[in-house]
Amino acid sequence: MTSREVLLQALNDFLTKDVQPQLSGASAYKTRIARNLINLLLREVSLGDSLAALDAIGAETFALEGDFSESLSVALRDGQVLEDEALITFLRRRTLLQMAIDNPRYSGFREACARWPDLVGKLGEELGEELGE
Amino acid sequence: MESVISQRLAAALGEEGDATDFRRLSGGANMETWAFRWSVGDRTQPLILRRRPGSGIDHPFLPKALPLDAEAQLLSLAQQEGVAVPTVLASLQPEDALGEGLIMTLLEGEALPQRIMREDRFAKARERFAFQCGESLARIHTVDPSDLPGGLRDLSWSEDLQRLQSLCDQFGNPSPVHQLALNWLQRQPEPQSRRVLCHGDFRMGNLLLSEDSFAAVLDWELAHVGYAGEDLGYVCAAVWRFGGRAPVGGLGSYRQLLDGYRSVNGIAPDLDEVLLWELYAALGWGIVCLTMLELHESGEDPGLERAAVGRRLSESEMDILLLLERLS
Repeated sequence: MTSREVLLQALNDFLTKDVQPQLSGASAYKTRIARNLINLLLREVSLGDSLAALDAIGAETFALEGDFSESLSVALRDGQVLEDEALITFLRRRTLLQMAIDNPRYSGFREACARWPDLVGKLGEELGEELGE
Repeated sequence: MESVISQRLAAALGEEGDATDFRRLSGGANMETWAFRWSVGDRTQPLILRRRPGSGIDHPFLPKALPLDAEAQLLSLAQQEGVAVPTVLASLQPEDALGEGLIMTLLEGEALPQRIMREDRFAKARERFAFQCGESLARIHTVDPSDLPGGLRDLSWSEDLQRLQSLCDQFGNPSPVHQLALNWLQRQPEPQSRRVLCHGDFRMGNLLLSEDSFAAVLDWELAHVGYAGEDLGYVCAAVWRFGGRAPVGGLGSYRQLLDGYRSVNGIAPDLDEVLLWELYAALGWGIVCLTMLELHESGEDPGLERAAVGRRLSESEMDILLLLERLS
C-alpha cells in the first residue's frame, strides 16, 4: 500500500509543478497556503508519534486522564498541578515538538532552540526517565 | 451603491458630484474597504468607503464590533490630539440600506508589512518606526476619556482576566501554556499605567507609512478603554514582527518606543509593564487563533486560511514560554 508520505508528497509535487505556475493573485496565494499545509502534514507524519508518546508520559507523570492538553490546562487552572521546574520543562519540550510540526521556520522556535538546547531532540523515553528521577 | 454614495457626499460636502470606479481593497467577513473616485466638475479626489454590509458575524466568542459612528468619533478625537488619521467626510444612513459605512479621505502610503520591511525607499521610515509608534500612542492616550463615545469596552484588570479565562474555558481549554500565562497574569498586581483610550490593534499592517513618517493609524475597530501599557506591549508582540528581530514591529527597540512615548508629555509606562502586556498580547493572539478556528469549524467563515490558523496556536505558546522565562 502506498504510504501517507508518498501520497502527500505526490500531492505537493502536483500543486507545485502543475498547478502553481498557472495561477496568479488570490488563487496563487491560497495554493501556497495549501502547499504549506501539506508540508505541515508531512512533518506530522514523521513527528506525530513522538508527540503522542510525550503526551502519554505527561499523562502518567501528572496523573491525568482524558485529552491530555485539556486535562492539564484544567488542572493548572484549578491549582491541582504544581507550576514547578518539571512542569515548565515539560511544556517547553512539548511546545518545541509541536512547533517543529506546525512551523519550524518561526523565529520564536529558532530562539527557543538556542535558549534551551538540551531540550531539543530529547523525546519519548529519554524524557520519561528524566521526569521519573 | 454609486448613486447612494454620490448623494451622501453631495449632502455632506454641499456640492454635486459623481462617485465612480469602485475597487475593493480588502475585507474579511465583517468589514469591506473600497477605494473610489469622487469627481466634481473636472476635479477628482480619491476616497475610501469602509462598510459593514450586514450586522457582522454575531457569535458569542466575538467581541461586539464597535459601531462605525463611534469609530468616526474616535478618529476625530485622535485627530485633535495630532494623530495622523483619515478624515471622515460622510456616513451611510439606515435608509441607504447599504449597512453601516464611513466615507473618508484616502491617504497615500504603504501598509503592507512585507514592503515596509524590505523596500529601500522605507529605510528612513524603518529607522524611525519605533519612536513614531511611541509618539502616536502617547497622543492617542492623551484623548480625554470623558469625551469618548459610549459603548466602548471598559474592563478592570480582574474583569479582563476573567474574560480571558472564560474564553479559554469556552474553547475547551486546549492549551496548558495559555493557562500558565493566565495564572501568571493573575498573580500580578494591577498594572500601574493610566486608564486611557487604547487603539487595541496598533501594529505593523494597520499603520500606513510614507517614506519618512506615519501617514495614518488605521483600523480602530478594537478600540477600548484600558491601561496605557497595553498598546505598547501589543506593538511589541512577536506575531507582529514579520520576520524582523527587534521587538517593536521587528524594526526598533523598547527604548526607542518609550522615548517616543515620553517625548509627547514626559511620562511613559515602565519596561516591566510593557513586557507584562507583551505576554498578555501573546495570550490574546492565541485566543484569536482559537476564535478563528471556531468560526471556521462552525461554518461561519470557511476557507483555507481560517482552517490553518489553528496551527498557529503553537506560535503563541512558544512566545509565552520565552516571555515567562524573561519575566520570572
